[in-house]
Amino acid sequence: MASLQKLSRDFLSAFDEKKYDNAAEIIPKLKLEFAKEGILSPTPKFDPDDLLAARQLMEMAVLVSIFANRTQDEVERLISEVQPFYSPNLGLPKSDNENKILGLYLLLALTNNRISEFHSALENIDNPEDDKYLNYPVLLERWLMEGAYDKAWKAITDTNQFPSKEFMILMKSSSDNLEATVRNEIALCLEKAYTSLPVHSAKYLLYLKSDADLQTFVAERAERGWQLQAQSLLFKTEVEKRIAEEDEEISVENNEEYLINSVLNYAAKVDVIV
Amino acid sequence: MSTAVVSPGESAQSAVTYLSKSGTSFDSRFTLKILRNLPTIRKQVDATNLATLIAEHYDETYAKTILDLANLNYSGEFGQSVPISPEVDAFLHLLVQVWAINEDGVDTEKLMRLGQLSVKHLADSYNRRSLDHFNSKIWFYYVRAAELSKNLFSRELYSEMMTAYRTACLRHDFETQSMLITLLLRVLIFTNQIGTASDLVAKTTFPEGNASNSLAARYHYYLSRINAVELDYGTAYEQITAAIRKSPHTPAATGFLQTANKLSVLIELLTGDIPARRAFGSREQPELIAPLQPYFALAKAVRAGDVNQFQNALKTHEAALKKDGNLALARRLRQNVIKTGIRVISLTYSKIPLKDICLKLCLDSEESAEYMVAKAIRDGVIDATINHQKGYMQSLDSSNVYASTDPQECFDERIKFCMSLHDDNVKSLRYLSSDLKDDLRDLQEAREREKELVSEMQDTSDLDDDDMDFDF
Repeated sequence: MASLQKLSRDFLSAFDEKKYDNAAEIIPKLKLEFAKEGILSPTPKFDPDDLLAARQLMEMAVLVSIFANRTQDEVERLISEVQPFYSPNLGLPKSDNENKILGLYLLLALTNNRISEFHSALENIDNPEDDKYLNYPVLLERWLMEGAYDKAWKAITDTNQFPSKEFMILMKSSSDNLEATVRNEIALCLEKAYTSLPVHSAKYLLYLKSDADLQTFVAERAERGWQLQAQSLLFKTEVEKRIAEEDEEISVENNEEYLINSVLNYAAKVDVIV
Repeated sequence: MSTAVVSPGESAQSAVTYLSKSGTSFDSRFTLKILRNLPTIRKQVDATNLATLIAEHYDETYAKTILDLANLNYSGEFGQSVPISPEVDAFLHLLVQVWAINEDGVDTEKLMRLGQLSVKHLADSYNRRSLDHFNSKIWFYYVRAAELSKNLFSRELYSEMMTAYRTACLRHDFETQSMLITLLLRVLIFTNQIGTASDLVAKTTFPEGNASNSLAARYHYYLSRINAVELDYGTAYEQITAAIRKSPHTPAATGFLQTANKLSVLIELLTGDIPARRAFGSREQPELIAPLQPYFALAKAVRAGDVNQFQNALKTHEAALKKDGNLALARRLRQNVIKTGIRVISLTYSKIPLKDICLKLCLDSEESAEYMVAKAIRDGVIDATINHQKGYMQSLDSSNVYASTDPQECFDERIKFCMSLHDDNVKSLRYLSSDLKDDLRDLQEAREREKELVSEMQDTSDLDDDDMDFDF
């Protein structure tokens, strides 16, 4: 227990001095000590004070790992380790950080496009609209689903809109971050909805800064039928593809054999009944 | 059972006699008959009779434990511990449980302990297939008591259920097995562990062919709920339809049907369809009208494609939706409202400026409108193109469904459904025994029995009384 106390003191002082890297170093050791005590799978048999202390340290560990720019996987693992502490059968008072941690978890689920996980987590939450940490991922998801990409884009790029610094750092941390996801979604919509777009509008709609960016973006999608011609972006093949698909369907439709087969089948069955 | 007036306790006593005689025959029909009459027996028995029954069949210590847990007073003599047939033993435990849970003023903690005691007693003493139906009911009332005493989060309960489930599987006890799966799902959904619940479904097999209909209905209901939360609306809709079809349509199942219909309507809305008007209650099903009122308001808003009306409906009925555990699902409908709005516009106008769409849907900006229309096109909600330079949306000619094979496929599906329904019916028919002459002589008698049975089944059903308050 002595080493645990020392570790947590070191951890807290590193946190206060904002030496996040140092603090992050301590996390694995701290978790090891917790694991020895068995408190990582909390049950009501533990002393409430111990549980509270452990919960607080684990919460801070999540925040530290975000500040120290650890990978999303690591942050997520830590979050999943804090969550058992929020279980109502422990009878602990509600933590101030609970909503923030949950909000971060929702954001991670959203970033990695695990929508069903996002919604499962949301089922647990009573009024997400009333909390700024929870409201952020909820609104973001709503905008993405509705297709209000302009609002979503603003929310993930405008620093003022983040409910706290952790959200921003987490958002920027991964390589396939939300910006890329949103842009990709927009691209998928564009190719279905337009036959052609002027270059400047395409740039504007896709939130790309320069012509060069647009060129690389289009080049990546060349096999999907994107091409730049003169001053406009063409999605022509999309329409052609659709027509081709319809033609194919028609040829299947004329499959008389299918019709004969099923009618014979019905006849046989009716025969059995009569 | 005759319709003549039965003195309190007599019916319970006669059930006991009946059971001890049937114990040797190993036919589940006898136990089923008793179980069907359970609500009636429960209402006819009173505290004194029940206490006497217990005292007669168990030795003093055990009888006292049961009496204490069920809040029963008994001042008479305790009998000697007589050999008791397993069926009677199980029946008495169940009867005490059912009686106590319907009685006011019994401590819920005690109820739960009573359930625990019964479950343990049966598991330790017997391994007989003729007890399966009792065992499954006793589990139901145990978990129900745990729910009433707010003990659903307890890990012990969960592991007890898991152990019992494994035992039931090994013993091919399908009744208890299916009961425990549904109970586990209920606990998990109640405590919002949707992920675990969906893992459980993936790892277990529900004995579909062997489970009773009411259990199957519940199982499908829970599956539907899990799928809906995980955004698989197609499967969720199939499951909820199965649940409603399988559920008995008797007054005892009203609670279940109301809950199931609420979910069904919501899922249908989420898939982008508008439910038929009669799904919200009609003259045939007046009991649905009031509970489905909030859902009707939501559906109206979705149908109109009016975002403001939708938000208002959501606000007005928030409390009711929350009580049903459907608020989160209802919130997801917002995008459907917008999609419907766009679809209505696209059907009405062949060409419309984005600015007008923006005004009609009460959106904040033309830019949002453009993205939303683009998304609707991508999702296949409408068939249109956008002209960015001139800022309008142009609808494409809608294709003629009747020129495709769609109607044929639909028709094919329905025929197949009717055929399989017919086949299932044929398979589940019961035939006369080989002794045809005797049967014919008894025919008149049998008809009367049948009539009685029908009238009994109208009063009760194999779904429990407690399904009246089946909700979250």
